[in-house]
Amino acid sequence: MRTAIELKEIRRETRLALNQDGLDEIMVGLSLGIMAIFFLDFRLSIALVAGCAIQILVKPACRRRITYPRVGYAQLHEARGKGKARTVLLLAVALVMIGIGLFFVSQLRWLLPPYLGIILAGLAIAGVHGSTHIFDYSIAGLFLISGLLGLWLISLGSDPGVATAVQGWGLAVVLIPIGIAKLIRFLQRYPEPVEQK
Amino acid sequence: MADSEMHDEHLRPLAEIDRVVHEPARLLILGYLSVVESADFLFLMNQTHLTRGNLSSHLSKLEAAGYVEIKKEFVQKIPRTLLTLTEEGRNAFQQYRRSMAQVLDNLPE
Repeated sequence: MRTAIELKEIRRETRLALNQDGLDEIMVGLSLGIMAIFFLDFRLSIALVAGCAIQILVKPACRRRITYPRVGYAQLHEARGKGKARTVLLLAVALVMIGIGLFFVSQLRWLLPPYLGIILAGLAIAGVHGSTHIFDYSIAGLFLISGLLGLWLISLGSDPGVATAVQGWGLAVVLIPIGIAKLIRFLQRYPEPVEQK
Repeated sequence: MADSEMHDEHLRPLAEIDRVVHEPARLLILGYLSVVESADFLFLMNQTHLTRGNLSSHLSKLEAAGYVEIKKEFVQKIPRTLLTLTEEGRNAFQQYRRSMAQVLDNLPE
C-alpha cells in the first residue's frame, strides 16, 4: 500500500483508472469517423448530430455497463474548474462552428484540416491539463499530425472537404484500434464485476 | 532560547496532529476522496489496494469522525456505497498537510 500523499499523482491515477477502459479512444474515433461524412456533403449534417450523440449518450451508457461495475465509480472533483471547463467547452463549440463556417467559404476551405487538427489537439490538451507525463499528450500530437496530413492531401490536389473527411477517418482508424486494445486489456484485467459491499 | 525549547517549538505542531487522519490507510483514503466529488466503495478498494474489511473499518472511523459521508443507494437495482468527503474532512485533511509540512520544514538538519 502506498503511503506518500501527492495529490497531483493521486488525481492523475484517478483519471487513468477511470479512462483505462479505452472507451474514450473508441468513442472519439467513432464520432470523428461519422462526423467526417459531413465534409463530403454538407447536407448530411445529421452526421454531426450522430457524432455528438455518441459522446453524450453512448459513452456514458457504456461506462455504466462496462467500467463502473468492474473498477467502481468516481466523479472527478471539478468544483474549482467548473467555470473554466464550461468556458473551454463553449469556446470549443464556437471554434468548431467557425471551422464548419470555413467549409462554406471556398477560398478558406484549405484551412479546414489544420484548423480542426489544432482545435482537437487543444481539447485533448485541456483534457489532460496538469499532467506532467508526456504520453498523456500523445493524442494531441496525433490530432496535430492529422491536420498536416489533410494539408498534404490538399497539396496533392484533393478537395478540402475530402481531405477533411480522410483526416477524420484516419483518426478513427488509429484511435479505434488503440481503444479496442485498451478495452480488451481492461476486460482481461477486470474479468467479472465484483460484488459491491 | 535554549536548544530544547527551540526543539519543542518546532515539534509543537506534531502534538496537534489529527490521529484519525494520520493513519496511513486513512490518509490515502482521504487523499483519493479529496480529488473526487464522490467515489464508490469498489473504486476506493481498487485504488488503495486495501481489503474489503480493512477499507470498511477505516471508513467507519472516518465516518464517526465526521470526515466522510457514506450513502447507500441502488443504481439499476445494484447496490452502491457512495462516499463523499465532508467539509470537515476536507478541512482536517488540509490542516494535516499544513501541519506535517510545517513540522518537516522546521526540523533542524
